[in-house]
Amino acid sequence: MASYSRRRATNIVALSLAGFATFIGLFFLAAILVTLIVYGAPAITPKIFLQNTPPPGSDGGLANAIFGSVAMTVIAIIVATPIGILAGTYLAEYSRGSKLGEAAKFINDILLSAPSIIIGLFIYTVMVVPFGHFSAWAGAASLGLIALPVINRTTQDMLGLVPNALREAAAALGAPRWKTMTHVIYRAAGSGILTGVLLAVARVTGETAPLLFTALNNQFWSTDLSRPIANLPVVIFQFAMSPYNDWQRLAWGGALIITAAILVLNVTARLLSNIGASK
Amino acid sequence: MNDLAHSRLLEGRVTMTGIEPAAKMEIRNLRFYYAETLALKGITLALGERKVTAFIGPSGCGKSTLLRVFNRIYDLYPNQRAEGEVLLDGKDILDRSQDVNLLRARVGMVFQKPTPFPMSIYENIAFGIRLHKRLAKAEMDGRVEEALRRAALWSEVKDKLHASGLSLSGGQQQRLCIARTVAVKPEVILLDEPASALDPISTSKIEELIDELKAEYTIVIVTHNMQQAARVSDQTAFMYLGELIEFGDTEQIFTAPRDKRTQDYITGRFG
Repeated sequence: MASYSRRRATNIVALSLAGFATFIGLFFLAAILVTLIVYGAPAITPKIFLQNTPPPGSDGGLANAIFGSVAMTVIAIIVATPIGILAGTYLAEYSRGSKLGEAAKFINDILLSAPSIIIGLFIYTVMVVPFGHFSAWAGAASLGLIALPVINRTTQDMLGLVPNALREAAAALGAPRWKTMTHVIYRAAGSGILTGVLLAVARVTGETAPLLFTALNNQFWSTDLSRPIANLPVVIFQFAMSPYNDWQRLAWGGALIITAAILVLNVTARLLSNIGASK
Repeated sequence: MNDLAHSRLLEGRVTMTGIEPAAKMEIRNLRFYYAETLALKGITLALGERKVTAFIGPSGCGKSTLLRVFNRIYDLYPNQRAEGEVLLDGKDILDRSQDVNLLRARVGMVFQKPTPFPMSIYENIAFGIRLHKRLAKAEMDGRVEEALRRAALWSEVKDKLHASGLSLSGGQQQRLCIARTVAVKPEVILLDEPASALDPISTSKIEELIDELKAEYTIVIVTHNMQQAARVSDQTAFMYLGELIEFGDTEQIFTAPRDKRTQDYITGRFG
């Protein structure tokens, strides 16, 4: 009996500690969201989507920064997705047991956790310095380089979850390996891989450091990808540090927009993987 | 019936007047390795054409391994290899020149756990057919229906052919897998414990199905269930520790086993 009450007590203590830890985590998350909404919501007006970043003391919005962020993210993802999926497929399906494959997986994981500022510096060295100016292309390249290992790794993980029985079943019908991959395995892992792509989008949406070295910023509306371009993270960085009230207000608005976008992406990713699991 | 099948039928009749039925598959001194581990220690036997042959034996005796040699599915794994001869209609399928995809079209396989593809019921069947033949829509519809009827699944799914194959019950999924295998029109069907994950009603449906299919196909079944082996098979092979201990007519194996180990196993004394 004594040991039973002791186990009960241990259980209660452990549960309360776990509950308390959960509370701390959730508290700060809620605090961040509440602060963002309180300060950011007033700035969310049609103007923020329609007007460009203003000079200090005048009215404006974030239209050029939103466009720049979306443009660079889209380019980055369009390039990184096929490369990431193909590389992930090779590493998960074809390189099993090979030294080269194991080394590539390891290096990809290092790239996955590399500080983004290093990626920014790298692109700065190879794409900004030689051309003599910052550009949206360089920004997109650095974002793509950050998205690539994420997509690669999720593809590997998702393919790894597909049971071997399915590969055997397709092979047993006389399906060549590539057909098994494209018609059966990708279908089985599809929603998981798509989730990975969405998470990569979410990851690059908030990146600031690499953009400081590559896309820099632009006060004006620009669609020229070989020139510096405005983007939300760098604008938030610049405006939030400024002494001007209207700039600070816009920075809060931008922060709220980014957060909302990431939230939507994560929820979509979650829904997709649920659909995949119940399919 | 095509000419090839017809001539084979004749061959069968001719030899059936003799002592031995025509052998569809002949296995000669087959050894199998998982990396360096010898899992099959020289198996020799012949599978009768349009017969059901059951492989029984305790777990780990090599019966599934043997089955996996017949369609060379083990080829998917680089450190597994087979030595010896496996003749399908007299031709060695272990030969390097054998196209494994063509082999697998002739030797179909149904696995222990139902493995429907993540696509519609219709597509599950059509996938295998398309691998080997291009068919017009109407013809494909006919082939899909025929395969589902063969597997006694048609009446249950005819109104939801475009629902996901994964929406079916376990027993239905397994019959879908059988339909998918039959649709490719193989000559030999390998069944690896096809009913072990199913309830008794689904199991008896699968057994009825095997009984119907043997009119046209050479069937090899691995099972842990001895009643099942006794019910469905014409010939039974008892394996133990990678060796073929006894092989003969099912009735003889179950009523008058010659080897003590066979007798011990079928009477439940070990295994």
